[in-house]
Amino acid sequence: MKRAAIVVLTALVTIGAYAWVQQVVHGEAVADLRTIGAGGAVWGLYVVGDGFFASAALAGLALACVLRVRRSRETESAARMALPLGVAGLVASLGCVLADLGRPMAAMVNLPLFGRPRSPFFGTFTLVAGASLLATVVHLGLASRPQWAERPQTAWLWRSLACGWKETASARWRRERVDFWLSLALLPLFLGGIVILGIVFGVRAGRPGWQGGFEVVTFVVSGGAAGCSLLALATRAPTRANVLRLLGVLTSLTVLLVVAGEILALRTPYSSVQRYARALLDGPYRNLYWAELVLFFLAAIMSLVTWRKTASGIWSAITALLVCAAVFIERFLVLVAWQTHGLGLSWPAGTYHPTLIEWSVFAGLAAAAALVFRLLVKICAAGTATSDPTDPPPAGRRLRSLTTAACLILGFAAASVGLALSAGLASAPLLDPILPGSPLVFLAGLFLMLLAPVACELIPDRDSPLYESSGGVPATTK
Amino acid sequence: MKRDDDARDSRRKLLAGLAASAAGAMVGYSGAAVAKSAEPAAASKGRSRKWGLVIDLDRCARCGGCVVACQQENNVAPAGPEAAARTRPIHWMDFLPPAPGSFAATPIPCMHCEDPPCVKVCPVGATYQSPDGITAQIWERCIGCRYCMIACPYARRYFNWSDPHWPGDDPSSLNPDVAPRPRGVVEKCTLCHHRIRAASERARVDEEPLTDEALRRLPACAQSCPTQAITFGDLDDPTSEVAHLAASPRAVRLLPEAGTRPKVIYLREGK
Repeated sequence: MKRAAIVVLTALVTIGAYAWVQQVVHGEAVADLRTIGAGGAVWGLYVVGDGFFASAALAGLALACVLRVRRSRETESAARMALPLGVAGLVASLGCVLADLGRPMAAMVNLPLFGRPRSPFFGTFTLVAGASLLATVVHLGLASRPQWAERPQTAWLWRSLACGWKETASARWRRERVDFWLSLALLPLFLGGIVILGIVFGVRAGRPGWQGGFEVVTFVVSGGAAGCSLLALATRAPTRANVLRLLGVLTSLTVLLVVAGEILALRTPYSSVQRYARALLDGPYRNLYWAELVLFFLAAIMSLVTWRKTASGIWSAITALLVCAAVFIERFLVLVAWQTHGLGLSWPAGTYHPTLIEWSVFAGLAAAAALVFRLLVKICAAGTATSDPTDPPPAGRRLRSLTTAACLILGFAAASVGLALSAGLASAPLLDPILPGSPLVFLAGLFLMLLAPVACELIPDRDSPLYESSGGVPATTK
Repeated sequence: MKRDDDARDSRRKLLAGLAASAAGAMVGYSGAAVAKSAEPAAASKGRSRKWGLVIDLDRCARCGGCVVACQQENNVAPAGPEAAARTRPIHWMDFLPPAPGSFAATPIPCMHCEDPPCVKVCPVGATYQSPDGITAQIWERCIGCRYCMIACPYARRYFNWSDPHWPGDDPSSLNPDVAPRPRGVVEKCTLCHHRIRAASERARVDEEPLTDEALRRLPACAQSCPTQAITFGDLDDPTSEVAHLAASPRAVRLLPEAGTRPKVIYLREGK
């Protein structure tokens, strides 16, 4: 069964890659995207996918951070699964953005050279997807070291990845502290990321007539629901009940927000917003809109019922899939319906029906994300670390403290300088970065900051009189 | 002990020197950037221009001459039958369909807003505002994310969904002053800035001022208009015709609630 699933996923990835090559060769004319204002949408399935995957991944990661900080045994499984899930979701999100770009190769060169922090793209792509992905990979790698070290010693790859992990009290103590502080530090990044996405997708800077502040909140809450539903799919029975409970609350809240947003949009003085709301209620998008509401409603009831019935696997999976479908439709309606029916001037209404090529690329990316998740779950077990509370903290080592502090301070300084230079803070507004390539300095600073937990964990203890290298039992009590 | 103090002093001096050099370099860079940005404005005889268009809807005959002239002048590839059927034609100058209770069909180029949302959202600075107020695009830098198209409240930007083709693929029919745009980039009206630059150069060589008369019909759309409904000029020059028309009680801007302050101004019909 598992092998068949992997074969199907691999086939989907291959089809998606072929479709993407067709798009690269013939241009985005192969998609159903059209000129905005002339009866179409310029952002379609790929950007909807970006919004879905990124928000689900970030919500899952934020939840994982909370669980890892709390270090509850009951939610161990969710905390363990959320990191691979986050990596897979962010990979799919990055893939969606790259598939959508007209010139992805030019983007690889021009973004590091001329990237502008004032653009929402910087927030959604560089910070949300790029920095979050890097941080999650570091988090996952560090948390998986104990498991990698247990692999057969002949496997050089695992030995290298474990970076000399030894099961000592000191190592466990450091693992626990790094896990705690890293989770705490990354929580604002993930929460900030999902809010940035919500603002970009919901408010749309530069547009007259917002769709209402409800859309931002709906985006964030429904993103949380999507993240929870994916976690419910990936976790086992005792933890799943807790996840489903949260899922039920978030889904119920989303239903309320969607309905309230629609009522507000219908009563707004802006004709463009009213046109958009009418298109959802009884216009060309009515089927999708009502399907979204029914799916959310069903999922809310099922998640609450399933949770009471000790969370059976099949019901949980169905609930999770319903939520995912509903959130996906919600993203589609917010993004596409507004472009075809919510313009401020009297441009004609448009349509958007994704082509087979677009669906293939999207399915390929989703399948790639599923394969990445499967692979990471197989090779990484990012469990929360626990040290014996009776263990005294290890003897400090100055080199480790200095290196960690240096990484943090220098990284923060480089990121700040890079950001300031990229934003052109010292020059007239809306110009190039003061120093071409300064976005790279910013990214290097972020990378350096992420090296701080790595240094803290990897720099070994000096031979301490208190600790034996094995077992970690204080020598004095032996 | 004395040697230690000396060493500490010299180290302190070295660090102070390094910090001073770094600060100097930063100031130099920022100063250079500011000077560079101010250069074109300073070059235009000490006064910055604010180019704008006024379109008189009473005069406009809706003949579409401006649309065709713009296509020809700026090497905008005509959409083939397939692209046209899929609503992908590129028209830097187009007609906004009439709305009930509002204008009749309206010629609508890029609004060249004073506070352009498209410039704010561009992730690589491919869209920028020149010192004379033209919202311009660097095709080579564009990565094709289409954020600017989403942000423009007037929908006045176009993406090249496929490679441009001209009938017969004859390059000699193209305007040598304007580079054709490749597939995957966004393009837009430039207010015929190549013509503005050429006129400015001519005036500089002849050592004569760039007069309002020479400017009024400078862009291709204004030049081709048979009823002279489109007037171009410097909105900051109170003696210019465009500034005079912009002050008319008939003058309106599109979507004023967007707060973008367009520099394309319409004169309403029948008032």
